[in-house]
Amino acid sequence: MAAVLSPSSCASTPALEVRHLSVDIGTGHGTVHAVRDVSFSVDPGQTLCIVGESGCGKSMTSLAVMDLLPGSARRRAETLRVGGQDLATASRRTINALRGERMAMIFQEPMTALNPALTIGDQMTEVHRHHRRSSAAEARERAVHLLGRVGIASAAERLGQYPHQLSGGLRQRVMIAMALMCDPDVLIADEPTTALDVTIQAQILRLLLDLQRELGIAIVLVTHDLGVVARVAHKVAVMYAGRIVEEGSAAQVFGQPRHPYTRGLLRCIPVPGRTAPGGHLGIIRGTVPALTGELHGCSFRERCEFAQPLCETAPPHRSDAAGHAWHCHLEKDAAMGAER
Amino acid sequence: MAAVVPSSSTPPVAAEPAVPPTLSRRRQLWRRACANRPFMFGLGLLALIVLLALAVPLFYPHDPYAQDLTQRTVPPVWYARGTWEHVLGTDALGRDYLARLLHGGRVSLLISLSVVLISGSIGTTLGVLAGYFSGKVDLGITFLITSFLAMPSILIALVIVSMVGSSLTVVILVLGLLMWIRFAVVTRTATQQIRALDYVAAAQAVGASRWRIVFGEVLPNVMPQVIVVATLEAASAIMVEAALSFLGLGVQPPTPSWGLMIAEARSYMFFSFWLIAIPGISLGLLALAINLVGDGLRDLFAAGSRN
Repeated sequence: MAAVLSPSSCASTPALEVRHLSVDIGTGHGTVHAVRDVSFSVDPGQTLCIVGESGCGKSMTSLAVMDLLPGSARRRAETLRVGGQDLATASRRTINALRGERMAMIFQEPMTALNPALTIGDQMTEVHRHHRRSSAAEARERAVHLLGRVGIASAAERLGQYPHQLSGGLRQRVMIAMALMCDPDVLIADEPTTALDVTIQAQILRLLLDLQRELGIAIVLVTHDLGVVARVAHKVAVMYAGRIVEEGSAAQVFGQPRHPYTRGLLRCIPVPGRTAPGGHLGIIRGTVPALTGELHGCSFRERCEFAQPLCETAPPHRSDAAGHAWHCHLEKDAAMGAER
Repeated sequence: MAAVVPSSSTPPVAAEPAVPPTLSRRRQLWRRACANRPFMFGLGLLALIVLLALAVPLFYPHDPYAQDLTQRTVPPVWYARGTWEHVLGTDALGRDYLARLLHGGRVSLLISLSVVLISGSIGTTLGVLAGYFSGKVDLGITFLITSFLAMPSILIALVIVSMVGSSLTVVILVLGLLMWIRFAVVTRTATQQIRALDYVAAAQAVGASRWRIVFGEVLPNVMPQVIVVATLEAASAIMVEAALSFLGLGVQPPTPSWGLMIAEARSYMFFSFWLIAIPGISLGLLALAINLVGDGLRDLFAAGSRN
């Protein structure tokens, strides 16, 4: 699969550039190819949303970028560049120096992502003191500033509290503040709003967007919530069975989806006014194929309504001038025609 | 095409309510502790024993080593022949029994504390390492644990002490090197659970090194379990020391120790029952107090992690 780069990202150096990333996980039943030859890049101040079903490899991709894969997983990448520094071949020491400093991560479960035995203040200041070699007072000042910035009232008192004394939304705010302690270039958010209720979700997303505008961070947002994607994404990458099957701007992917899988996903969303009450939502038949062994041809063909004998061979990489790219045998017009 | 409509009118970031006037964590813990009767009883008893053993010998006039053969086996004060001179009477060599009991208590407390410190550090280190680094490290340490579990520790202690010769230091070292297993087993399992939690990954994600994670993230979270095991092991160390001393392989005379006092008293138990009853009851009370405290701590920490 060729690297998919939109023209806009060629203008400046991307904050995060991933080329030909693969993740293999050794299990008792053979090797699982969780991520297969994925390439993407994110510019400063932009948001890339990686969407897909459970098990499509989107979380593995984000963990691979942060080098947080489980011990049984192996990562291969041609390029994995954060702010111009290549992580693909870097030593653990170099990676540790970069993590937290140049790139940070927000986890899905704010309930378990904070250490219950340490106060908020201890956990926040530790990052800053470790990377910046700052004094306790400096780190504390920074923590208070950031807690205020993420919308937490009486920040100074919160520093002395333990995670169990905070609500889920507050903890996620603390996680965000902690991720921002060292002014990272790249923020990876793995389903940051999934564990929160809807009103809090909206607040957290708004906060992330505000912070992005203010600080120019590149955000990689991993999610299966297309509503979230539509609100925040500059670019969207749709993953299926470990591969990016379609990539483009949010308007392109949502407005003119090319890949049958993307169209299927979009049909699954209820739209007020357009989905008849009591009517059926779209479904995609079948399940994600097993990720063990090699895939031949298009991995979606068994669930695809447009499948044809040609799909047994690897799908071509198609793209248009505006940077919208997808992998499918279907001609652009045929696909759009079938859609009508 | 189905464009998802972004709801543009979300309220501005809500100012969270000010910090609720909750009690501090310590205050909450203390309040729960007060509600736990057995724990408070055990804590009170333990404090009393420690206080008596540490403070009273400072101004109690009798020397625990001074023999007075004219005053042999004087009974305690509540017997008809008892005197206030020797509140708990004297032993077969005419040494004041209360002085010996208090000094013996010091020995017991010293042994339990140092044994727990030694075995706790060894066991916790090995357990956390095995749990965190899995693989070959885990295999090696698990092998070590199972081989130690397969051997009856008191028997090993007997063998070593009889080979090396017995003294307070030897007893402490032997017990310390034998009793770390339970620490290792408990911390290993706890670490395995903690390692899989998000906050360990989160610590990695901010660039913490392995050692930082082991000491900064994992260790504070296994401490509750370690403290509980430590109290139970302290009680068990006291009992094992008493057993060793009773068998003549622990603390050597004339140093007073509760196990040794029981051993020395056993030939007089039909005519001077108090000689064996007093150190026996003291030993039982101390073990009871420590066990109650340990159980209470376990309940407190379990409740603490629930909310």
